[in-house]
Amino acid sequence: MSTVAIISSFADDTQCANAIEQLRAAQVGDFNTFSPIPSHRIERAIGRSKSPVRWIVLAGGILGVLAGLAITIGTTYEWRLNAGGKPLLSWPPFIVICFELMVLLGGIFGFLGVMMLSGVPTTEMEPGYDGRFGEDRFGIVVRCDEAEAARIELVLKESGAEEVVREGA
Amino acid sequence: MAAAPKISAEPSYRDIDRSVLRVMEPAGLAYWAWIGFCFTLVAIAAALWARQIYTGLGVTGLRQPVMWAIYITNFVFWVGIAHSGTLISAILFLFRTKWRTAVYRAAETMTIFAVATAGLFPLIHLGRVWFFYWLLPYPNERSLQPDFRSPLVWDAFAVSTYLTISALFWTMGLIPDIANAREAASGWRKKFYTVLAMGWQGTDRQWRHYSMAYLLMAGLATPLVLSVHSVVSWDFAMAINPGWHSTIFAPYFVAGAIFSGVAMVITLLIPMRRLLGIEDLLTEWHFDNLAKVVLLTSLVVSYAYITEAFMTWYAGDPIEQMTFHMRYFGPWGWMYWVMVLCNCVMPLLLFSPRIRVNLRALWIVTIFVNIGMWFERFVIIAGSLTANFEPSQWAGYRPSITEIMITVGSFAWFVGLFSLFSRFLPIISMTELKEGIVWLRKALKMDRATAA
Amino acid sequence: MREGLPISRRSFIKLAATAGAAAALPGCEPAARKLIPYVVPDENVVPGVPSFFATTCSECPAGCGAVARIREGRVIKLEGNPADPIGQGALCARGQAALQGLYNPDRLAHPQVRGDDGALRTVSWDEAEKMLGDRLAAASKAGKDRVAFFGSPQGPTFRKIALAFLGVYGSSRATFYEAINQEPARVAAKTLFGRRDLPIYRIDQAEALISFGADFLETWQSPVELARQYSLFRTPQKRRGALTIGRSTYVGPRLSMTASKCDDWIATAPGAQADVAWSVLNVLVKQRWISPNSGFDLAALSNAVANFDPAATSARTGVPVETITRLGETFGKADGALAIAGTDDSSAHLAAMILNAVTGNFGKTIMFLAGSPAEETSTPDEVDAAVDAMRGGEIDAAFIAGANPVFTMPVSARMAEALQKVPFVVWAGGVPDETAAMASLILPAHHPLEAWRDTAPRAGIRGLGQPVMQPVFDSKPVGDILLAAAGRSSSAKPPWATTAAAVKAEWLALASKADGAGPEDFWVNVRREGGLFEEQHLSALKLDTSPFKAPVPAAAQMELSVYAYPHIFLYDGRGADKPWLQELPEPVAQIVWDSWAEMHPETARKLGVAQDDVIEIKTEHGAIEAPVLVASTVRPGVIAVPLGQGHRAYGRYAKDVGTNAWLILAAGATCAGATARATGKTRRLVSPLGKSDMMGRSIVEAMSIEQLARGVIPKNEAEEVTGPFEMYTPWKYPGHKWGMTIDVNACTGCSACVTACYAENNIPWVGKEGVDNGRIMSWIRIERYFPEAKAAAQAPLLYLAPMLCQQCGHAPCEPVCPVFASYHTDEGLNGQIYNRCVGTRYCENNCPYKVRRFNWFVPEWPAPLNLQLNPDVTVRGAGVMEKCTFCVQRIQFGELNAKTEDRELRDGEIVTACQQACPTRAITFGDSNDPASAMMRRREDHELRNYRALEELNTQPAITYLRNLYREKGKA
Repeated sequence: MSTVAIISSFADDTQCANAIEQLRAAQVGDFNTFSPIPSHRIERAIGRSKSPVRWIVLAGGILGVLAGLAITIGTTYEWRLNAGGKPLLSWPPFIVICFELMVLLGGIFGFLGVMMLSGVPTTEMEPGYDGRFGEDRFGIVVRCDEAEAARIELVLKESGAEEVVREGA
Repeated sequence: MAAAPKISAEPSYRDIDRSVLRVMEPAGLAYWAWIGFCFTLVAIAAALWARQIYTGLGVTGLRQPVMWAIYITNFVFWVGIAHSGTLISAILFLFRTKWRTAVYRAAETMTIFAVATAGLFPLIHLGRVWFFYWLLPYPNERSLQPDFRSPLVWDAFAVSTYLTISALFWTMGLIPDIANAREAASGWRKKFYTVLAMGWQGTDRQWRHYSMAYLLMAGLATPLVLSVHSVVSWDFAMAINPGWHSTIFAPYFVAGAIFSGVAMVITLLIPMRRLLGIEDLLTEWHFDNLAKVVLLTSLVVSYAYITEAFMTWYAGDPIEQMTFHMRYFGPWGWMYWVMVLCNCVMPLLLFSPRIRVNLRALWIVTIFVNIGMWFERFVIIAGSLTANFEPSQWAGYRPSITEIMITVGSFAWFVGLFSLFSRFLPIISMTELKEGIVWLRKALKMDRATAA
Repeated sequence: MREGLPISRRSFIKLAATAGAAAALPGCEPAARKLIPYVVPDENVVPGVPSFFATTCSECPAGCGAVARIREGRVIKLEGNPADPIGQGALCARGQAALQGLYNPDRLAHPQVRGDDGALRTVSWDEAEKMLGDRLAAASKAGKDRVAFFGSPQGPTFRKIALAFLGVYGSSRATFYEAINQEPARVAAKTLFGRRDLPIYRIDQAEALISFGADFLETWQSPVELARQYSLFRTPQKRRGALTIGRSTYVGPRLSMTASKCDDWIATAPGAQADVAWSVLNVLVKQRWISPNSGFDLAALSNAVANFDPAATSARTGVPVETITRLGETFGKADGALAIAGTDDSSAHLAAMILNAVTGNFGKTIMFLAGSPAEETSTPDEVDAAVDAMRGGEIDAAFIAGANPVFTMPVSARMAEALQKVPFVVWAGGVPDETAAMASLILPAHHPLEAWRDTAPRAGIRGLGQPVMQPVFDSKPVGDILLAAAGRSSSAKPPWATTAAAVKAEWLALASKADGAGPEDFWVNVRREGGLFEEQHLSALKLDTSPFKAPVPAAAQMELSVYAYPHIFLYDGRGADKPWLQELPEPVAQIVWDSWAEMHPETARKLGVAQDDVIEIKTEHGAIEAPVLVASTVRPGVIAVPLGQGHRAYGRYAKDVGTNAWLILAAGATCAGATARATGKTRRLVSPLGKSDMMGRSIVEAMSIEQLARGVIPKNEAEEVTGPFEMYTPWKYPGHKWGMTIDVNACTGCSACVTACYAENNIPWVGKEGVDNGRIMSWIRIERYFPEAKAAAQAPLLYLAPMLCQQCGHAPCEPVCPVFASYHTDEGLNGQIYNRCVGTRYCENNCPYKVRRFNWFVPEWPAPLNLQLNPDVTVRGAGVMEKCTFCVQRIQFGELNAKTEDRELRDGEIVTACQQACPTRAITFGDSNDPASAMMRRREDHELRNYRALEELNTQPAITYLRNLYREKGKA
């Protein structure tokens, strides 16, 4: 038995989301969607949990604050110099540094995080990717057993796919 | 390029893509001539800077007691310009403002290049620029580290953070659009965009993390933008000079920054919209909203001017009062009043809805605002230094050709980079425009209505 | 060092050094001398440690002693010689700047001969001396007195040499010319006491002082000495139960720096001072304030001053009657009074001398000494005779050395013409000047600091000048040139071959005077001491009142007159080739690198000219052009122009700077009737100062002696001082905490400290354009502020005080520096680390005192001026900030000395350059942690006068100023 990829395209995200629900109702798990815009409908239909990138950003932020405290306090004590009779530990200025580093590392972590999680950069495209999906079409690609194919195509057609193509994987 | 074909009042995703991507088609001679012109000016400025590094800062007009003048003015001016970008892309994003989608990419791009320009000036004004890295902490066997009490070190951190974060934020927004461009383009451009798109495909998995990260980035950028100009203002507020030593500087400068920044966005977008034929995407509705921001911030800035004067009078410090007397009525008084005219009086016109959507008038107002805000910084920075604590050391200041040409060069640098960008990367976010297509349709309806 | 090593460390280093020397310089013998060119044995020389040589200053006739600071064979600084009774360790700006004469890049490098085409050709010394010998021989063959010597007075020994030289060539035509001589004073002394020597003064012994146009703090007779006396005179002290300061009055056309330090400035037209002086005498006579044993016949006196009834004088001079009577009263009643005159007419001098005589002040505040040395300067008549002789073609060969008559002599003297009549003119000197331009043979002469010389400024004082370093150029001492020339002649030779020999011989002749010591010890001692300083004895005075049978005639007044005064720094013009002096702002006008025509706003209005308009000033003698300086520091109807500028030669720093005011004067005169007209041209007068109005800020503070007596501290309404306020736990300074006390009352504004700072700290000059662009580099400057018109009655005539880095405890410049280049040392210094500075200039922006200086360009010292640089101080490159360091190198030196000698640092051991130079000792440096230090005690003693500049900023400066003292106007 060989697996095939069923590529279907939809005019808008409502139909697309609807199709996804149908698929899930039909116990089809191994599918992948393409969309020109981030769509909450689709997300809800797929029903995954919130992205863990949040925690990565948080980690970055905390690391930034700690780094800020470390360099400010560290360097001050590395060589205790009197400038203008101000105390060695001048907190207000240090807070500025900590804040900037928090934002900096938080941002960098977030960016790298999203790249890592969403698998970019990458050179190979997901099976069934089509330029139109970037423009104005929503696509669902289901990878399934040849035997299953007919049933799934039916589900997709019923939920309003403009076209459904089967490709040998 | 050829005049843009009007898109239907009910534009589809495809219409949006087409009209945005059309801008990115190979450009004509006029365009390249313009780019050439800009970067020739940049080259001249660079040469003068090289000479300044070689012979010393004596080639500037700087002197006792005016140790900071045009260079630092430009620094503050450009950092200010940068702010509108982040405001529109991050803050208005959090507020889910409808009209931001069409404008934000251009504004954000402006931010990047404005910060890149601003960042040059602290270097240009240094006496020994080849040691600029001493302002950053790095391990060295002599335990020599920067003094974190110095506002200039805060600057170094704030500005570099600002540049990095806005660059990342900007890149994130670009990726899906570049993916579209990749599909449309051919030849070397296709390769170019393929690399930039980093294999983005818009799968649900990608979008899921993308949206979350974008939200968080916006959340980080929002306090950052407020902090950056506060830090810049503290360069002056932390000093004891009369005219600098003031607690209202942070909010005052932030408001001024957004004021000048949004004005600059308008100044750039009005001609760009015409030249790139994207009138259908950047509608009067958008400008109307931008103009409202300018008006609001103008009022805040005017309030700051009044407060400043009031506090000086109320505090009753004769030295401070003398400095302000010189600011208002001294030899440079005219600059102050030019500034008041440009920043406080002219923008009042924007109370009129007709002027807000009369792009020619709006454009002129914003030009004045840019001039006014430059003068504001100059009056505060150089002006205050001329009337210091030591009457025997009072003196004026005359900029040298080096300073003037480097300033001109900085504008050329900024405009040149922006022009380059506008033809090679999507100047309007297709993705977000599609998301908010409903609003675009509304805006177009209004436009057509007023037109008819 | 390991046991039994055959070679000790010391001798090893010696060997190494010798080897190094040998390797470095081929030809050991001369090399060895070149390597460490010292007059003293080489063992005394430790590289890196300065050695000091006593010598004399020869920049003006005052004859102060000096000490040269030598590092590795180069003189790097001149300071006063503490052993010398005149300067007592202080040296004025001009004296210190002698170094730039020594190292002047435009000094003549080789002998040169002027061809018929006027072009100069460099020749060898042999050729030059042969030529000289031949021409002189030829001249002397032509007859008697065909050879003339024309030079400046260069000491008794040199005089002898010059006369011997002439003697050999059968001539006696020696002229010793000083442009600024004391002839009027001498004439007065002659008339009254039948003697021509100058008296000495004790201002500090007086209670009242009247100066009739004598700028005794600037250029008159002996400024350093008189400044010191004046500061004592002005120090508050109890007199007849009341705390008071000496009362001083200046009568003259311009508010000179001297006038500005007096209680009153009585503005008269130039030449009218005599009128006032006689009138004061008139008051004394009327009021019978005459000491009984003055030896004057009252009747005769009152007859003599008949023309000077205050009313009459007032009518002539415009000086109010009550002013004159009050002057008379204070002078007559004072316990110890002194009147001095600096005018060009001997009448004022005579009147002043009589004022002193009739009040019985001779022997108290003014005295003639027994055994005054022979007069050095030729009288004007002698000078005229010499010039006439030249013009008359009676001279075949003239030898000119030290003097620049072509520049300083009035047009009427026609000196240039006279020199053209002389077939062979020899000029010997340093920087070729206007006179050298007329010579057919010009010879490079040693700078005084390179040669042996001596001075005899007054009875009991003989200064010995020894060479302090190897000659910088291929030059010879003038004396040696003369002696060599004399040596060539066939006739009788002079007793000595060289100046050195002559000086030594002359001094050994004095050895007998020195108690006990053998001649060699004596020779060592005088060289160590810098001269022979003996007790001075008063001489008996024979008063001759005969001249006063007839009434003294009153001089006519001039409508518009020009008053030309010697520039405090350029003097008669000899200072103009020294950039330090050119860039030193004239204390009152505050102008650099130029001459100016100072006039009252009223006069300017009358003439229809404004600031910076170039006007032409014409007198019967000539005309000059100068830009206008509008200031109320001159009397209406008077145009004041400084002398000393306007050179047409004399090196790059002097040439074509300003205008030569000598050209509009008659011989010996300082003023003339003039006409002035605008030329339509303008020239910016350049000054480093901005506003002259202090705006009530506490920068230079003053209080009246009356307030001091009442113990009232004046309230400064412009600011509210809440006293030192600490927001954080104060930093501890366990060891030393350096501080300074500056007595503004003692400060005269003479700027000696500024020049000392330039010399000590390698501060570059920036030229006229540089100053105009606000790039002057001086670390210490004299602040000059005019009192506000409304408060003028209750203020000093002028505010003058040094402003330098205040070394703040809460230094605003420190926390703003991003890289710790500006930080606070644990000895309380505000450190500036040049190597760390990146040049943000934030520190200067945040400095309330604006005392930091930025290096806009790479500083330059044209060789050999670079030889003067102090090796202990970094030369700063472009792009870094710099400022006063409290002479940290001297602090280090002192501390290390104490450490090596394993002892505590002594108070007063460390002396900053500015403090060392100050003639009035206005500056005291010391440790604020040590309450017993002189600096802290000075604060204690004058507690009421303590203030800190801009104190309300709570910068907590380490410098405390002592308020200037003035006398409330309208009070006797």
